[in-house]
Amino acid sequence: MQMRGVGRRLAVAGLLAAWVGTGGAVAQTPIRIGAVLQLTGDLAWYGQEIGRGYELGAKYVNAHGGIGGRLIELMRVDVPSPTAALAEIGRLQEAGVKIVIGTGSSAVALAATPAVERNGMLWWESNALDNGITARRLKHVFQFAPNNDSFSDASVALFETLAPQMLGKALKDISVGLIYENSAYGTSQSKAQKARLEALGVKLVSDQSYDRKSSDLSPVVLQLREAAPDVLIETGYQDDIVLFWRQAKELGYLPKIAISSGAAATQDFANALGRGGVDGIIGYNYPFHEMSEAGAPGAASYAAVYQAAYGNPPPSGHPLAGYAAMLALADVMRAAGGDDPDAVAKAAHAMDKPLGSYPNGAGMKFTEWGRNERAPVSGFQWQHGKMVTIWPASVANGKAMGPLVPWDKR
Amino acid sequence: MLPPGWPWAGGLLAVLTATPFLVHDSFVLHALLITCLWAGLASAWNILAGFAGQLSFGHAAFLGVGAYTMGILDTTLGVSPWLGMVAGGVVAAALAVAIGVPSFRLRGPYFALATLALAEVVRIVAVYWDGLTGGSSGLLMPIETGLAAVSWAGKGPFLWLTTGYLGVVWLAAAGLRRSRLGYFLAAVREDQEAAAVAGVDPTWAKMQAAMLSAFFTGVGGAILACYLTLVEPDSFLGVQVSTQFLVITIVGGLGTLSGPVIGAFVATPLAEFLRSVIGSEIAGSLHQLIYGISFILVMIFLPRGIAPHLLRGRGLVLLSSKKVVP
Amino acid sequence: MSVVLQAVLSGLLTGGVYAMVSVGLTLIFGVMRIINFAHGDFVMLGMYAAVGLGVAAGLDPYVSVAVVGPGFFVLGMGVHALVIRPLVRRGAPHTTQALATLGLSVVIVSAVLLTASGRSVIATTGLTTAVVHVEGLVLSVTRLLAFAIALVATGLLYLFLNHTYAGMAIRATAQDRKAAVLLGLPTERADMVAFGLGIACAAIAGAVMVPFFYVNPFVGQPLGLVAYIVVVLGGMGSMVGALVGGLAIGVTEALSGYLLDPGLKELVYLLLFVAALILMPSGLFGVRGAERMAE
Repeated sequence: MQMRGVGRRLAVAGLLAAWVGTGGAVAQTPIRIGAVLQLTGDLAWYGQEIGRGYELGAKYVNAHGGIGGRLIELMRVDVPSPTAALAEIGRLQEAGVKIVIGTGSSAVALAATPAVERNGMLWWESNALDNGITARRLKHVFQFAPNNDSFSDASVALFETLAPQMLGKALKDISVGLIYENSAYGTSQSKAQKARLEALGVKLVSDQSYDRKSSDLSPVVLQLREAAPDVLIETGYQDDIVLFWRQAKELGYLPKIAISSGAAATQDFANALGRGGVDGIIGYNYPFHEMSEAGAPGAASYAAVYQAAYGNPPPSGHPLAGYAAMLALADVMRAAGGDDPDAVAKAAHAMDKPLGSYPNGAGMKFTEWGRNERAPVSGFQWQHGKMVTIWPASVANGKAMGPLVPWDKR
Repeated sequence: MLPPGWPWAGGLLAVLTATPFLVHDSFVLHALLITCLWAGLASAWNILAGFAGQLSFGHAAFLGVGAYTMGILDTTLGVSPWLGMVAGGVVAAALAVAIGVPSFRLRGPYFALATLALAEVVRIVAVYWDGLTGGSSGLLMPIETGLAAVSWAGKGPFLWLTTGYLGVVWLAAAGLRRSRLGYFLAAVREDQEAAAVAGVDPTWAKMQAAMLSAFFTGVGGAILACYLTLVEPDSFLGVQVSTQFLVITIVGGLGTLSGPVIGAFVATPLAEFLRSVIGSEIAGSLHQLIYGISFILVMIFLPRGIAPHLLRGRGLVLLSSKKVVP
Repeated sequence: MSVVLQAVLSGLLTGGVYAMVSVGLTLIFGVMRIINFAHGDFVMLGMYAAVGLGVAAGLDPYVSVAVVGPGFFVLGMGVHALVIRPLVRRGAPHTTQALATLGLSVVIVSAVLLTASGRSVIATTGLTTAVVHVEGLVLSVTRLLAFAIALVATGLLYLFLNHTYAGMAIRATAQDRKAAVLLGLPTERADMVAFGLGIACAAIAGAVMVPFFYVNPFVGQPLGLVAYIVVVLGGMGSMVGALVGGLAIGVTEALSGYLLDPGLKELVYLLLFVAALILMPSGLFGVRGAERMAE
């Protein structure tokens, strides 16, 4: 089955090469890059989207000279769990893959990275957030994506920048409520947020975790209604955030400012809450393609290609993160002259690209153990049913509005 | 007297031990070692479910507790994972007592659901008590290499480890079957009231089976944690982990000695193969669909599992004799 | 104080949904003594059916119940004939039958994932987030309607079981299978009808949840688990038990979520469940001693 795939892809790659006029008359051997994705299980949707980002990124690279004339060939593997990670990394190794890009699940990344290191391969993290990915002193692991700290830093930065001016109060007088889903995503975010908020001297009046599969979040809403914080900071996935906001509307709860995690960054979220429902909610996430071209070159053309390939605009920032990571990886591999993991690692550490180098606004500068210091998180706000990037200023295409308008006045 | 099927068992163990010298394919080694691990885990489950007749739907609790115990001891106190494994088994056995005391008075589906509920309780506690367990992110094992750290770059040593584990559990189960306790358990399983009248203490017998079963499951959990280099709630305490014990043992043959091993060697490679070849190359969930359909067919055509068909007439096959009324 | 009352009220409404899912399950469990691992997934299928009918025929989810109910009744009987009956006929142990339903669950979820993708469908009807105010308390209209439909369905089922021949045949099979066979009752057909009814109830529960809950291939699993807890708590085979059990779990969940921490609310009702089993092994409304015959 694998040989058939290789043959087919070689043929396509060859045609493409001939059309673009690269590689001369001889089709060089393609470079296989492993793509670790969750294609089954409850993260399947994210896996599919991130996979699309990789595919489009690889196509772009191949249309622009490939890697020294060699075309990228993606080998997708389904890794729904940490145990599967060990199986599939082994399989990739047997297939001669040396460079692996992934993934949408931190648990998978945490299990896969030591295996990758031990097999003499290299891991390029495009989406998973866990700080632990770069905390294990592995020389061939690179986290191009932002991590939990940068995500939570963004949420607190948004709070710091916007809350005092919108509320007309000093930081110390502002009360905050924190809610989060209780898997790794929510708990690690909220921990970092709590630490930062404490350092700012802000009053935390509510701190609740919840199971994101719950069908009733009214206890959470009721506690918040009682505690009545000025600002609500929430971390969750799309479904539970929708449920929360619907029940908040039913029970008549509304904070003055709401800062919501990336889950709020989808059109489905807006549709689920209806016309007036979403306006004013502030979110932070992997950058969404609606950004200024100056700060995020190529974002608009990426969105157009996505639409053409899949029939709808990119629904969230996940595929863009994958796309940009693939482009960055290709740059590093070009500098390294191929896919030798040691050479690629060396080239990655030598990279020094400013923010705004990639379609998601990212730059590239890795710490000693592989964390990208220039991995952006952007802040956006729903305004009149559309997502407007409001932060940071370099990529903003609109200004923040607030505080939230009471439910009955919309 | 040697346990039934011992030539096969011995042969299998010999082949597995020799494999790392002959096979170097990382994927194949992974599939084999996971299969061995689950063969051992299922054998451990079988002690309680097959021998004692108490079908636990919450065995993930023991797996997870074993893994977390070892992980916590290693990351906070630097205790050797070898000691941690044993400690994990002991803590799991203690948990079994805690779970058994309220549960053993329940029967059939009530017992099953009580164990399911209690395993979920353990999972929620692990998620909530994040100061101790790392919460949903879990614990990251230190990445060292060597025998002392129970961690190697290659998969061969892990295969030896899990083969050894399987061997130990299998011998323990074989020994148990022929022991006094084993006969007590069979009596309790077949007819608890009659056994009690005959002088067997059913609760104590079940408790001993539970402790043994939990001990080995806990050790297996610790081994898995060493292999994955992490412990986290979903992979170690989730409901899908608990059902894995059932699936493997019942496909292989509940109550038989070889059943759990056969079940593991059939179900696990099949799942790995389906996911790797069909899942990634073609469509995402097709492999799961095929797995599910195959599973249903196996249940329909081999309702008592594979082992009874292989062992017909040979050796002592202890099965539940409860008939189903149409 | 009124906040606590609000929590209780919200809990009752959620409990109504649990009861609706559980009523079908207690029927299946009571008659066939098998743990149907796929029960929650039929709830999920009912959701997708309601969404599909809404998209294809413009049917409001509540109206679609008229189609979903009978449709899934037939589907349930078909599943029984195809998967369960062969097992029973071959004398498969209960555990094997239960595991076959596990395989069924995997098949259903992966089939939906293949055809519909994992992306959640969030439906919005005119009634989503609509509320009724009563004495300063808030009632979600969609959840109230789900609750009402649960009551109606339970009532109808109760009438069927107690006042029709078919219903009484089912009850007799549930109570003592051997005796039912000896009496010449068509136990196999009773099984099939009971299964069909149980699945229909599950699907209806799904359909009425669509106005307020998201739909994806995985939503059935947690609901199925809660349904099991409710059924065992309420007493296997007891309609009233499923209703009371569902409400009890809903209220417990909401109160502990509000008073303690939402992260612990499942924990509380799980522990209470185990405690209840210890004190009342056959459940709140179960027949004492029935648990011994449960094997």
